[in-house]
Amino acid sequence: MRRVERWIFAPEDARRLAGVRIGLCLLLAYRLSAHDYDALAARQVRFLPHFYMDVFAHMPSADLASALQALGIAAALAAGLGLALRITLPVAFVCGLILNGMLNSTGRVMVRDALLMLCLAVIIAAGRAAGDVWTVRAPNRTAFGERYGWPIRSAMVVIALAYFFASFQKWRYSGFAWVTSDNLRWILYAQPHPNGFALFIADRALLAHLFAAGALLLETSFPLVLFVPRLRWLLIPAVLAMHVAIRVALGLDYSAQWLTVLIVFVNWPVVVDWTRRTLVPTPAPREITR
Amino acid sequence: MGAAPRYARPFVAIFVGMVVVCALAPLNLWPFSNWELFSRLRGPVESYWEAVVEHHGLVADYTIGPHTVCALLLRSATVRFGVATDVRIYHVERLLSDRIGAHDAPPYRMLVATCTAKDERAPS
Repeated sequence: MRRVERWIFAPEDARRLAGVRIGLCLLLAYRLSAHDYDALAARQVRFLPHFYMDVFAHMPSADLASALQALGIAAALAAGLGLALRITLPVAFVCGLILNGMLNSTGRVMVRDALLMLCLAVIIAAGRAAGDVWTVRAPNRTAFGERYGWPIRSAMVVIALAYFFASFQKWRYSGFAWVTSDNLRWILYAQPHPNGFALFIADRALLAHLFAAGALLLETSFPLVLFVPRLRWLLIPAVLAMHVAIRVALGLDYSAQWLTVLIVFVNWPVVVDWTRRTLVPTPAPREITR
Repeated sequence: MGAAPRYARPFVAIFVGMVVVCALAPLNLWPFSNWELFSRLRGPVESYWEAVVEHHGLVADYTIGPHTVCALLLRSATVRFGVATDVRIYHVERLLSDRIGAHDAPPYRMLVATCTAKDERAPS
């Protein structure tokens, strides 16, 4: 337990936390702009409040949805820039909660943005540390310390647990039959209009078993990214490929989830330093002549 | 300057604890999910209930719940299509692997009951 605590609370480059803040805020702004919430409100679908949406007596109105959407996008962009972070980030988060709550209160709870919101909650908890560098006011400041590491590694733990529990539930409710039965074929066939890729897999039992085995193995072993950093080069692209395959075969958009994985696990200062070195090569030192 | 705030350790413990508890319980306290997506086995047959209304020679069908009351069905059919004299209820079963090229094969439909303004009739 001590080792886990030491790992979570190890010092980190402030720019890495700032990179995660910028990435998650931009992603939230994009996700909030991608849905037509006022149309959902105007359609007058049956309001089945999920969890905290119980505070609303009915589906929020189209006007309120539009206002929350505009406010949420503006606040997320401002938080990405590091402006008034202690106000803008919670405001963007609450707007995201309500708007996602509207989608979740139509009879089906969506998982896709959950990981993004959980990681944003950790960034909010980081407080001022998330806005110490890479902000409009302090674009070039650098810092290093314990206060910049724990939010990133907590987010990594949450992501690893999310994938692990997705596999855990499959083991729990279905066991190895999740792979050996025709489960994946029925999932693919059961869509209203399965496309060519879905039918290509569903029509070939062996291929469907291979895809199912790959997905289950990947999700079960995903927590290894925490202990063996080298495995990130394998497991994170594999997760990305899995989500792209799900998008193509089932039409389910998990972009918010895999982009969150990418944003949290990429070491942004290293990427930025490498890009700078590549774009602006440092001049070779001149030969000293006497 | 560089130290983690005092609340950080309890926050991480509670936050990660919530993720674990919601998965194990399981509870779906969004965004704390139970991560149960696609965890239960699907069968080879898809079955559902369908109401069929005939109105001015046109036939409309729509999916209904298994325990929908006749009077409710007639009322909603009247609202949607005008005065409805009867609503036929079918139990529909589709074998998922049964396909004609890229399209589903027609499902097997069994008439379960007919709702009329006067009564509910089982098929003779």
